[in-house]
Amino acid sequence: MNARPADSDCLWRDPLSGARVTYGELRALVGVGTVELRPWLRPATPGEAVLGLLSALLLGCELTLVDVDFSAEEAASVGATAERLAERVRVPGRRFEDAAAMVAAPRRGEGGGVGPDGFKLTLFTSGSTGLPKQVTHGLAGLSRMVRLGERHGADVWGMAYNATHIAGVQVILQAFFNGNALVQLFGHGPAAAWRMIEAEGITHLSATPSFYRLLLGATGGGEDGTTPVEARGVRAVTLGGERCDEGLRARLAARFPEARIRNVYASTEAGSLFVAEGEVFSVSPELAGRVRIVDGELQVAADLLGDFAGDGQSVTDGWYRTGDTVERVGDEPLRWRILSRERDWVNVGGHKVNPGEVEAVLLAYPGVIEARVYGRANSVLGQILVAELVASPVPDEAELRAFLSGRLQPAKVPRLIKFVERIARGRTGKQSGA
Amino acid sequence: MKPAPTLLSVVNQVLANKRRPAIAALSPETRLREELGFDSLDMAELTVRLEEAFGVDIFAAGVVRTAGEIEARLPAAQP
Repeated sequence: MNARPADSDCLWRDPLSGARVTYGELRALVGVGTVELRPWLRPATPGEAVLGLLSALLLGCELTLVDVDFSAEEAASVGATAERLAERVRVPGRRFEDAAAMVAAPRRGEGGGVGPDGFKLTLFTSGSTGLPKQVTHGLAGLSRMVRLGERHGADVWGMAYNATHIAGVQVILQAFFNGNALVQLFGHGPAAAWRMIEAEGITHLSATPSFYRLLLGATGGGEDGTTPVEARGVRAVTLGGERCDEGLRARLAARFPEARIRNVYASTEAGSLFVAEGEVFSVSPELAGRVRIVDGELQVAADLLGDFAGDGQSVTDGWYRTGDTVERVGDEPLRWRILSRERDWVNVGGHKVNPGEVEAVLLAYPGVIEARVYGRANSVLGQILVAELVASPVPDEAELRAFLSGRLQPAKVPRLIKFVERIARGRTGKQSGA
Repeated sequence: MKPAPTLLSVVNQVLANKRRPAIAALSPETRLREELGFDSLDMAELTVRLEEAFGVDIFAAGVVRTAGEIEARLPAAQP
């Protein structure tokens, strides 16, 4: 029997604030006769999110996680009123012999183990209109990509996602099921994050391409002829959420020389589905026959998705149309390369613009570290394209515009370019388009 | 301190982004499309910039063609 983790082992810690949560604390929390849980949780800290999520999982309860970034208005629009957030439910506790039994319980489900039956997690994502969309997942969908085993026992995860978003939840579950520690990186800025990767002995990272771009930009990459700063302790680097360019992969490989670098295809609707080493994704044996390519569009079996209020157009005859354009590379197993993610297409006067394409061009401009392109409501054209850039040095706007005009159709050139210190990610970064 | 934005300064900003020379003055009769060569994208940019500067969507109440029509929809404190 695997003795890991011990009660004293760290489940989550934030080296900057000094806050931490141990496996023993979680065991004590759920181990009393009656446990008070909040069915609606808007966690003040990532540690609170970790405890709330795992308590609900262990006790088989439903949980709705509300992003702390939501404004009061946004929170109310998804039903997270002050009364809801103050609600408590009393459920019978579960006693586990030790922490190792606790982490094994949700996946054993038989005997004294706790089945995931009553556990459901509801999250919110920003839809293409900017209004939050609700998605509910069971444990199966959330843990599809969780890898278990002895060799994962000593992993240390960098927590580089918001804990109330699906990617963050998946990292928490991966760490929990293997008795690993999570080290908070999200929200700490790239320089601090890089220091923590070294100092905290992080072995696994999962983050967006934007996070990695900032991280690499914060330390010496050898561009000036010096030796690049390496983090040799990192064994796995996973990218998800946005399209990853090959240039970034190469830079990651140079800075994380011992790491396996993988892309994950994920969406809030489906969670993580596919993995690629390099650009080519393939279907794992357990998903064979539940993925297809029709007219260059990737479609997945609708039963792989969480429950969400679809727009009525995205599911046809049991197939969910991802809207992602892909190129078939091979069959059996089905393999493909992603040409463009659907994300939030912006309609500029009838021209459908893919923000990812525009971001890729912006990122090719010297000095641009991070780019976000989005649509803003406009009475003339429906939407107008806006770019937010993090750049050092800040480029001359006229020269940047000339560069863009030479490479993009007029409708794809952002009409407003804003230079910012940091890019607000996620839904709060969206203009409400008043 | 940056001078307060005016319709002229915002128009010149849009012109600069098109790599066109700035104009010295706008008369109420100046027609943006015909005389300044504004296309739909330029008009859209102008509305967004005016909205940021003055908090008013000049197209909300229908199409505008001339500088004078725009001025009429901006807050009165215009010099």
